[in-house]
Amino acid sequence: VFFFLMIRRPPRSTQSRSSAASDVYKRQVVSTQSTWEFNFQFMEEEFDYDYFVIGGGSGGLASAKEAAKFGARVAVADFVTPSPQGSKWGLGGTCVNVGCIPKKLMHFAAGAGELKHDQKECGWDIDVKSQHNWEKMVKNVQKHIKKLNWGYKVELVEKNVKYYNKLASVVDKHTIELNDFKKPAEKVRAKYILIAVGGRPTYPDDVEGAAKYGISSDDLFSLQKEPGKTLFVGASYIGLECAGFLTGLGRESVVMVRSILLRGFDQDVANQIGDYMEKHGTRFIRKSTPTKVEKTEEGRLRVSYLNHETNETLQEEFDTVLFAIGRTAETKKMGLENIGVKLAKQGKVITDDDDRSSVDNIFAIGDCAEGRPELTPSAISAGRYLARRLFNGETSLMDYSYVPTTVFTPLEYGSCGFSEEAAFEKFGQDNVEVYHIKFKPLEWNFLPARGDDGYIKVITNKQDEERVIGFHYLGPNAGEVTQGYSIAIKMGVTKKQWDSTIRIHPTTAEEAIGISSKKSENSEAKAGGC
Amino acid sequence: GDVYKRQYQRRVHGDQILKMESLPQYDINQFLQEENEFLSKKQPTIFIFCGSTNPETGKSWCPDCVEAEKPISDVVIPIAQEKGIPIIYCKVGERDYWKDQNHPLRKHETFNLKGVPTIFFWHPEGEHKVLVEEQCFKTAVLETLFEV
Repeated sequence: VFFFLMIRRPPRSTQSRSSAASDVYKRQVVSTQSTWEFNFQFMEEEFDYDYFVIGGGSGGLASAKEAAKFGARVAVADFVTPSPQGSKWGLGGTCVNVGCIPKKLMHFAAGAGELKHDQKECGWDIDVKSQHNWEKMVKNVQKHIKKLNWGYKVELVEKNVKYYNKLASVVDKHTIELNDFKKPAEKVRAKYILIAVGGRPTYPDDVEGAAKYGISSDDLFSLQKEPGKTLFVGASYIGLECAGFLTGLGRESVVMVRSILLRGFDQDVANQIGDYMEKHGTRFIRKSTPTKVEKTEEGRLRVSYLNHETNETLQEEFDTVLFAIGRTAETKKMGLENIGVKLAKQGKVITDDDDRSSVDNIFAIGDCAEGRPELTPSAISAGRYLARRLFNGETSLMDYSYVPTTVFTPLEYGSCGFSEEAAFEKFGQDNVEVYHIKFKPLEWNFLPARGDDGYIKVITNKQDEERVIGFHYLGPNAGEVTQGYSIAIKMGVTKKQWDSTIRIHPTTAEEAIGISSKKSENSEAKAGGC
Repeated sequence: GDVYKRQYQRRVHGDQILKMESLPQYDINQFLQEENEFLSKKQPTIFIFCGSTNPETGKSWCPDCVEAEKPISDVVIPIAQEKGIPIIYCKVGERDYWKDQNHPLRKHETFNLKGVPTIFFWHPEGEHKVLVEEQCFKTAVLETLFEV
């Protein structure tokens, strides 16, 4: 022990950034032979941690674990400020607790319910009128989430990452204050700080009663009471996905849209999603925004809303009102502005390609970083690359081009690359060719009422060997379909190479290969033959 | 830091520290007979599953189980004792019996064991906490079982 205490670090002034890795190597001799409990014996160390990660979500945890792999002394602080309705949750961030995971499970539950009708026609003796038990589904979803919370906690301990279940704020560029509002606040010092605090649902500040009576996605997945007739304010993917599965689970669902659906996504596909949802029982109140939410005598919620086209104010009663109008980065009140970390207008941390903020030792990734996709795999990847740059001398930057995504609306939508609008804007409409086709999954034929609602769009760059620059798939298993195609797109596949691939039959994915119908010639895509 | 503090306290107070071998043990058949009783008690319970003892060596045939004995005795047993959480120690059987994929505990609705040793902290509401194999060696990891 004494021998190790005698290792002297080089004088601070001669340290360059790249020597961070060699510093860690010296300590690595000790770290790999001891648990993190050993580190408190290093009284002479300037910092308690090499890497302090604020936020234990997708990006934060991935970066912390990667850094610990290289022998860095790492800590993660994760704290969930309760939602206005009082919801809180464990380690893992938005994706695990109130995002991707419960969303996909409930989307599946809704689909499983719809399948009852198909099952009957397949020959099963099914009671299509059987009701859905909300409490049972929530209980099972929460059970799974808690298993994940637990798994992440164990993993951090196994990987020698210290976990603070406390709210972190920065006092100066190397000092973090941690508070759990139960014990006195403590301060720790770290060489590098990662801001990975993500975001939380935004409540409108001009709707009386919104925060008092309205819930958000933070509350929906653990809602103890039956939601009943629900209003979803907002038509981006959170609003549409939630309204979609609630409709599928048999509850009356209404979506209030201010202007367009799925802002930022291909609008042609977005409108088809809206049409499909309307056909399947979700009602849309268009061109409207709420003005007031109040409680009725019977305990329901009366929503007053303004129709911007007719200028009428109307009212309707609901059991639940959910606001999904956007998300705000959780960067307020943590001292960032005081120490010179520049934030963008909405509060996200401005970073360069290196994920570095305006303060040289402070970094930011994920939903709270300006200009980054709000996606778990993107944050995880960015977190890992950053840890490797800081602690393993690597230089690779994250590539944000051609990141595939999927929206899990009742008819799922997978996409990779440019939307039609974005492709026209970047390359010029004349230089872009849009191929499209409608299709009907084979399995849908048990129910004749189902139409050819499936849709695929392949967008190519005519000036570059018809390279595929955009792929849009609307249909079942969109995520599974898009993931495979996204590899080819990222590698620069041309339409000719794409079409030369042999199809797998019978699938829906195969419909993307060999599309000859051009939107420029035929705006109504016809369903292909067998 | 916390681990050393706790061990120091135990030595000072001189409490009886139960070693794993002095816990009441259930062989697989006894366990299966009484499991309904354990699970119907609606009380958080720690189940420890290990390979059976080889009478020739006096130790379990499962080397991971042998390695886990000290950490479990140092951490899990004293803390469970302190908090009044019952411990059920089940010996799953001989090596060949355990390796068979049809072993009753592998296909069990609740336990669904993937390996031994397994520490299964059973909760009546279904929010179980499970540690398997190497996870049972580290005292820091074992301590997380009891964190709220």
